Amino acid sequence: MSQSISANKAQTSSIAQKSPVEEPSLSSTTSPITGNPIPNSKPSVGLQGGAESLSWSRSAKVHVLSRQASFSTPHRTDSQYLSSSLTKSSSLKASSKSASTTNLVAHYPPVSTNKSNNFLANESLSRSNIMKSSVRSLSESAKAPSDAADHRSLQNNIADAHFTPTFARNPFSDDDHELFSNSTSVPSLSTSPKQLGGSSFPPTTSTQSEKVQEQATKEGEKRSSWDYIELLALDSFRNWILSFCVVKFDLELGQAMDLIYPSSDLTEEEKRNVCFLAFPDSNCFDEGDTVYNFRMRCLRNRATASGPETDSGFLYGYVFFRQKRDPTIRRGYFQKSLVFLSPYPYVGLFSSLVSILGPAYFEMGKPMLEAACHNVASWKPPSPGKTFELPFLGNVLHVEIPQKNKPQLLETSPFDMANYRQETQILASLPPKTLFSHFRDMIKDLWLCWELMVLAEPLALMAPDPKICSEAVVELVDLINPIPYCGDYRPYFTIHDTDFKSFVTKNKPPSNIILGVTNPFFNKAMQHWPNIIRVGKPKLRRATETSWRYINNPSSLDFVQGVTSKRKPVIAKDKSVLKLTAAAIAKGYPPDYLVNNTLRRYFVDLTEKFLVPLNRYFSTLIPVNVSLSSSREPPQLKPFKTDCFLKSLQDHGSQIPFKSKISATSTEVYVNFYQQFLKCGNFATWLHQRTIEAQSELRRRYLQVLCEDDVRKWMFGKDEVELIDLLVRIKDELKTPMQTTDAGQQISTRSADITDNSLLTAKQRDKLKVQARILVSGLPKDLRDSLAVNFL
Amino acid sequence: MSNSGRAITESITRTSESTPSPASAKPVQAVPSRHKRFGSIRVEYLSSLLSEAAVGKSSLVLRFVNNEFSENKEPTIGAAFLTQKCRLEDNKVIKFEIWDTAGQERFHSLAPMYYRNAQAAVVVYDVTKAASLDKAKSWVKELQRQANPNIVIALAGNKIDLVEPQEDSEVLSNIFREVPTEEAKAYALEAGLLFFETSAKKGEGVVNVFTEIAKKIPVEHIMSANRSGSRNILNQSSSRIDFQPDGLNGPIGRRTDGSACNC
Repeated sequence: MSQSISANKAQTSSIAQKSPVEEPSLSSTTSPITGNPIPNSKPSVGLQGGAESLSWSRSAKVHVLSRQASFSTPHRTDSQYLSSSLTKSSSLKASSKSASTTNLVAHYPPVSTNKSNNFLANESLSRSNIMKSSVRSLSESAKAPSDAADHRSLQNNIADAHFTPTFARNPFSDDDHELFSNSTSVPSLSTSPKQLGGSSFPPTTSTQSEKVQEQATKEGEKRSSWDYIELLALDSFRNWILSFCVVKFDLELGQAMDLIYPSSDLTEEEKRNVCFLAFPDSNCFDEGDTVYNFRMRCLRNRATASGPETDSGFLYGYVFFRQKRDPTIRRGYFQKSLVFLSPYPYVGLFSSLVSILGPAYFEMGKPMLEAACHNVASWKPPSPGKTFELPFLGNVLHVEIPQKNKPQLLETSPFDMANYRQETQILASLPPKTLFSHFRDMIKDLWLCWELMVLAEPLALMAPDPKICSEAVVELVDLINPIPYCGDYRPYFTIHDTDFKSFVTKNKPPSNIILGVTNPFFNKAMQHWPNIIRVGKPKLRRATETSWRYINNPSSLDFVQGVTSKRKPVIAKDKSVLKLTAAAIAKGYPPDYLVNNTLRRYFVDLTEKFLVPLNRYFSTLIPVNVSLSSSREPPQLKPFKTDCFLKSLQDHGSQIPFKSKISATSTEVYVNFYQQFLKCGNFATWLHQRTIEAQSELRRRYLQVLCEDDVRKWMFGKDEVELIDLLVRIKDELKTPMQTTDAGQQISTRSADITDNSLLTAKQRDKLKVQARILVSGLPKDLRDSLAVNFL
Repeated sequence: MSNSGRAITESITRTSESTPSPASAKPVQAVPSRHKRFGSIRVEYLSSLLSEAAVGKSSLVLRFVNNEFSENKEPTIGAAFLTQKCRLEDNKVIKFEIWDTAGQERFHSLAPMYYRNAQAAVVVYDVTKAASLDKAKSWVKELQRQANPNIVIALAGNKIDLVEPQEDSEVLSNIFREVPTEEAKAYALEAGLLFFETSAKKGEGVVNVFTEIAKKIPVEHIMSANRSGSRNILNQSSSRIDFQPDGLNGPIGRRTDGSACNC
């Protein structure tokens, strides 16, 4: 660290003219506004170190000592200590309070693995930098070995941090509107040593509070630019999460929204849905926590809710529900839920996140939400197929974001299987072992489930609690991945839902729908549904009190696990898979997550084999030759014809095993199965997706030919008209807007892969211009003169 | 909700065993419902409990179903579904399927789902809170207006243990009865309700509520209606009748989830 400090000193000496108090905020904040490149924040590190290096290093040492002391104390005292410093800071301005508390809580859970010298380096860095980077660097240091490479990565991280997101609730307004306060990093700079060091800094207290006041007056002047920055922070937060919601069980009202943070423009109806989805249908335990997920309808035009898939118009919710005794509350029970609302169906990732933040929030309160917001705002936007290291409240999660319609399996993940850790190495789309753990007593039914899913039959899934219910539904949807499920699915659906009246009627259920339910009410309300899957054993209520031996678990649908379906299954079960899972259940080995992966891989293979005939036929629809003279228009796909496909199917046969009992008419059986598939919605979505892929590939090839082929050679012996024709095509291409490569990392991830091939890159434009020049040069002079103006 | 409230689904016929209650009536000797035999009659009733929050619905049901009481019961979220069987003097075994609904405001609008097909409803108030009786009266009005016209409604004043004279006079409770028995009784008579005062804590009067309801429900009426109908209609009607062997005694628990327990 000392090296970088001295090196940077020279660069930053000009900035050092300004008041030392203001610098960190200036350097960290102005860069995004003025459009200066991100590395500008790096000199600020050096500056701080240079100007105050002596005093800082001393204070940092003391600081580290006191910090270490707090680490070694048991957890309880640690939190006491935290809460006492929280109250201490409450007299400060709201903004400084939020900043400093955030700084504090970044150490939760206590990080015990830090080496002190490494920590010192982190400390001076984070101190002189902005809030977010401090949170991040601390959580980084939780896992970091103390070598030089790590220092480098630390610096890089801080260099990335180009603005300060701070969210805080305005203490002066009692309503539910959240404000993004104007707090800066400076208050945290001056106040955090006092709080962290406790009584070791008594002499400096007065000067520090002056500084805070001074800063507070300056804040007002810079308000407008800060608002802008807060919006930027909010924007990067919302790349991942729309809002955190806290829902309480009000003793008079029932479910009630306690807090939406950061505030969000949910409609009343949406809020109501969130409230009811945030709680189990019924008390399923006496004391405990549970984590589950839901999917709810929301305003279609909300920009933040446009997920990466066919899901616009839906939001995903990830719930941490806690019920515990609390004698200080009127009826003696604490019943609250924390909900993440996100446009993404990353059940694996967000379930982990909410189970980290949930307990922390319920123990420590709002500062944890703020800290979590800072963490999330520091993440790069999610992009399909990429792996991210996400710091979150002292943990670092390694997360692989799924690609569209591509199942996530351990084999294809970037994680080292020899040292695989389920808790921190996460496949974002799914929880690590839920297909196996929830369906373990009914593995043999999975083949029928697969059939029902492939054919997009209406499904009711009943489970004893929301966790099993929601995760089982999500697993079913993934069971037929890479076929994109065409319908609506609700991992957890309640009778309070706005859609209840349209989904649950006396009539035939809507096709293409999966409802996960736990309320016994549905047992009767949905008994006419053609396919009902019952999953999970009702748990006994935990016997925390002898009188609560729960024979009559009030929440459970009393049922036998299994599938009730009008469909007669035709797909043959795989004996080796059944054997393997049976052995795993008997021996308890291999571990669940591996069995789960094997099971999922089997069904991915099954789905892919099922698609082989379809893909084979589809590939015949794609034009083979694309050349400069191919046509005026870019090449088009041929239409999908059912009878041609069925003929091709019969010629080549099916790849998947059908039941042997009906082998006499096996051709008929599988043709029949494919015919059913062609009629269902999944076929439509599959065809749509394949068409988009193929067209984009065609276009890529077309552009490539246009850019790369040897025009000079092609021109030889061609008619003038043909030359002009090609020239016009190139001109048309040049008219389309250029792909933005630098400005829109966020844009490209939001609208996913649409932009990938359809727009020209700068390089392609240049090449096309060259091609056009060559063409023009081959034309007679009179034409050349009139055309050249347009192209050159 | 199209379907009957009380229906049939074998799967929902979970029962519990509990020790015979001290009261005269006959809770639950559980009946093997899968094996139909002939003899006494078994009837299933759907009933729901309604009241404002915190008057003791859940405690009342748990006393009836499990013969248990918890001093500090958590507020019910949503609704709980419980079942219990009762044997009447004439050897009828009656199975209650009970919806224990949450009392909070938000759930009021959904209560009709739970009581729509019910043959009985227990409206509960707290004898120490006058306001809870007012709320109970509005529930009764709603039931009489919207529920099944033959519904049997019972009014139960809970928490009488709080207003009974304490044996150890050292603990002087400062809780007083706000609803005199006579007043509530008069109202019940006028509105045509069964009336009880109960203590879920001490178990007083609880079983009585349900057995009296069972006696009042016109079983024969339901039976004849069912007999005349086809099987299908029977399924959709709001009651179910099985025949039970004579002289069934002793707890024969049937449990679908294998969670055996003797209380």
